[in-house]
Amino acid sequence: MTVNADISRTRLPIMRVQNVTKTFSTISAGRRTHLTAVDQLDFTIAAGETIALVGESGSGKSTAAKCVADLLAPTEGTISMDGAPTIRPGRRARRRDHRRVQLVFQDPNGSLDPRQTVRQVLEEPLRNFFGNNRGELRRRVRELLADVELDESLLNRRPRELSGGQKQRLGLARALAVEPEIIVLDEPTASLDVSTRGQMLALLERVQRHTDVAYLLVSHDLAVVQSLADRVLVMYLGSIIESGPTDRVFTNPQHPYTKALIEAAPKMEYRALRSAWRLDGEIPSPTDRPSGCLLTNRCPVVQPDCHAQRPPLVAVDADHLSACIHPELLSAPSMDARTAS
Amino acid sequence: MSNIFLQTENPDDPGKAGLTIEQREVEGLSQGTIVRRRFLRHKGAMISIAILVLMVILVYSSIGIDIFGAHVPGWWQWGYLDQNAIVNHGNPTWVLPFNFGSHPFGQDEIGRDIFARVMRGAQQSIVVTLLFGGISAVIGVVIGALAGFYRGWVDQWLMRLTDLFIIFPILIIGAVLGRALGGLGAAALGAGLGLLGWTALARLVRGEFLSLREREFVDAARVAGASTGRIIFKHILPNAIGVVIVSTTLLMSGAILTEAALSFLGFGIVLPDVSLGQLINEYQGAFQTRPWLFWWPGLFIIIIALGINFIGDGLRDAFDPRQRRIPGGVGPYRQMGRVIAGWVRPRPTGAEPRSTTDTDVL
Repeated sequence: MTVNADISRTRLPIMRVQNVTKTFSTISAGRRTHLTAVDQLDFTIAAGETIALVGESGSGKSTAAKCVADLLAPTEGTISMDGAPTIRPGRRARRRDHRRVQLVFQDPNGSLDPRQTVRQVLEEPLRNFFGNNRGELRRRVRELLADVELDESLLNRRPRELSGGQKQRLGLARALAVEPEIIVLDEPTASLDVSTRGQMLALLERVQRHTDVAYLLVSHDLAVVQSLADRVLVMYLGSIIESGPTDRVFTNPQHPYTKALIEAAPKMEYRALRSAWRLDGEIPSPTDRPSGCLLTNRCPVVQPDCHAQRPPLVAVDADHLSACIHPELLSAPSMDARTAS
Repeated sequence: MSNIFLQTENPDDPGKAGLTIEQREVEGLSQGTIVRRRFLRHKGAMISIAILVLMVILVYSSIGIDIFGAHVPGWWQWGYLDQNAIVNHGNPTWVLPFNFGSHPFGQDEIGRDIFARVMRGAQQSIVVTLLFGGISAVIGVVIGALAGFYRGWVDQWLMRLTDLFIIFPILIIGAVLGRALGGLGAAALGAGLGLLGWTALARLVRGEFLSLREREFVDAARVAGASTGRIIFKHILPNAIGVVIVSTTLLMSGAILTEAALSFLGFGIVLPDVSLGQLINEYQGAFQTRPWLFWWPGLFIIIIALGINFIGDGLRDAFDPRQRRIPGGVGPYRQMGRVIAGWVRPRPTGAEPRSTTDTDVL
């Protein structure tokens, strides 16, 4: 295998997510309804790369991340590692498969046991997977603290005695403890303030360079995505509607939703750039998804044929896919398109 | 102790600078140390423990104890079944403060010494309480934990079982058993009550588990490779321990009252043996003429029940990780304790940390 580190995209995938669908059945007003949180998710992750799942609240990105991290069993589809399926419909992975995929939680307060000290938090995965050799445990805990740049004086602290940034780094150290191949980062910076956010991002990059771990980044913060991700998957209402290399998706979005998402992000020249290209209304309920294109009720340039059927993901150019049948309307963004239709 | 409070910020350790006094105070201590330290500073609980310990020593040393048929004698001159010559018309001979006389608590109409009888009754109550608390805590925690953690059909079945036990009226079952067996010994009574009395605890533990199992640290433990048993007993149960301890202590003080009620009705501990409730029953006819026959067993029931409640209160405060401040002298139980003890605590002069997040500060 001749892998050139520069062109990570040509690396072999270590995880393949195939047709993963997650539905929940809920009973509302006495009737059983099905909620499709994730629909036919399909992507691969290669060693050492960072893939971002972006989308607004309710787009299913967190559910997708939980399926990948094996906290939820998918309703359909498989997730395989190195070609061997580890997660099948309705089945969770075996415990030892957790060694390969780890998760950093969004909320460091909730995801750390309030009764455990820093040392206990870090020893937990080590004991569970590598046994109880005391000297070895001590050495590894020290290493992990150094990896995430936490001071050893914190070893006997409990979570409430740590700052937000320290807690989040502890969460990362816990994930790194078992030397995973993939780490799912669920909004890793959402709970941090701006100054610690930068440190966290730099730390994530450094860790990736040293360990060649792959990240699946779940975020709605496009600045974070832009600085970390190699590839972006844009989700809307449970489906991927655009995917591609980060720079190309950000500079040349091919789906009205992506374009609106990017333009909605606050910028320095906020007023000047605030264009007419924005989505009105709320994301529809996942129990009642539009039959055609998912965006039909909010799209500023919706056309009659958009309602006909769900548009497939098609290649715009090499590995840049989009699920919009009228990308030509994106280049002439104005309210005219909407009033004309 | 003072070095904890006077500790200044260490410029070499920037991590420490952001800590509040409360955080610094508990920094670097093991969970057990923190709990023990907080508990030891809880005045209501400490006073209750002191009183209960003194009472237990008094109760067991005074009239001695029967162990497997062998009698270990105590220092008190009368046995609880002896009939003696009536002194002072059966009135208590205790003249405050230290002149006890021969029958300090008085005598009943056939000359038995009330002090010895109350001691014997308190012994029985202690046995009932401990057995009841232990048995019902174990059953309640296991059933509640399994139901709350596994949910689904396990929860359904276990909760229906709990409902079944809830509809058993303890008093009537105890009465029927007592009748059938011709009265129950203290051990049998405690065990029997324990087998029936775990229901409230099971429901509370179930609720606590239902809420805790959704917390992210449970997911985190699973991702970190923890087994289900480890998640239940190492992650969820320690976070639910406050509920277990508080409701167990409440159940235990309830058990004293249940024992008293059963014995009062004549179905628990029966003649010739003695329990606190049975004493009250036996002497109910003397309410107008010899009220001291009532006072003493009643007083001991109150001391035991109240003392256990105070201890539970202190344990709950000690176990609560959200409780940052070391408990001081406020709060409903403690205020009550102060009133009872007739003792007013002086305001701390800066030595005691006060948390701004506290809600129970006056």
